[in-house]
Amino acid sequence: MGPSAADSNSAHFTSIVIDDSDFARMNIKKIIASVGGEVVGEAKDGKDAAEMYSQHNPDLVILDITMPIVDGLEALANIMEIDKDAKVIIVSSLGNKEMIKEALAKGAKQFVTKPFNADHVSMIIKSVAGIEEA
Amino acid sequence: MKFEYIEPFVNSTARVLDEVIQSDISKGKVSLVSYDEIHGDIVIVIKVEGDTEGSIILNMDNETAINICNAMMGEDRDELTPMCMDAISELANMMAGNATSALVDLGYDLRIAPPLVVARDGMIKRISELEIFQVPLFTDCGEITMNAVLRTN
Repeated sequence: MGPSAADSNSAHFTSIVIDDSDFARMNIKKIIASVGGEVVGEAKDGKDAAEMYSQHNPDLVILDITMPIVDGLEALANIMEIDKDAKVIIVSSLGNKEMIKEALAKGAKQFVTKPFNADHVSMIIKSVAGIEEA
Repeated sequence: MKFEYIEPFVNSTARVLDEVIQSDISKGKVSLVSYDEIHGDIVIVIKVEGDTEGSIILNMDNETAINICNAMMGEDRDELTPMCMDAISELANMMAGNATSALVDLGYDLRIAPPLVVARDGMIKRISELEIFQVPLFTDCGEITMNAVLRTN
């Protein structure tokens, strides 16, 4: 399990964000901050996901699918091998039924299709990270 | 490109544009064009593989790109910054991802690669012998043209 709120100053949870788009990461980071989370690592490709997970042991992972070298499904499998309880949310433009089924079968907790509604993603992040509503 | 691809493809593309830039979208006439009919300052190419191979290409002029960037980022810039270009690439990724997903849900096997922003001159040489399916999309930010260069396997 990742560090709890007490381990990370005032943040409610820690997270890493893996998406090849700077714009997408910027948006997700804003949402994570708005619900009291802290982004402790970010990467532009799935090849860095497993190492980053091991390094930070985050409470939550936000993972894109379409990336240049290692895609999100492979990165997801690598992360789940390290920690079968990892909390991974896939955020991808590839929202077809087969892709969603495959990601959830590989251990993702939720699948969000881009473009997304920020309030909806906030709710999902809080739910997966186990943040209680005030 | 098979005709049955076109409608779900165009509809999902227009829906994404509508959601992302919050603009009324009107679709122009779908046509088959040659490479010299791809115009615009900004060209984004997304490679498609699977039952069909080729590319989805979005093109637009600088002014439209700036307007879209401002709509996506909630800003009022008058130039294209690197983050603007990334936002437009991400828009292209969402349009292509949703368009191909609509076809995957109909039973096709299609995968897309990350978007690539390329110089127009370099791109048109590689596709000059293929048929291009083109549809203009008119938005409050300006006109975006979506081109699909897909060869059925």
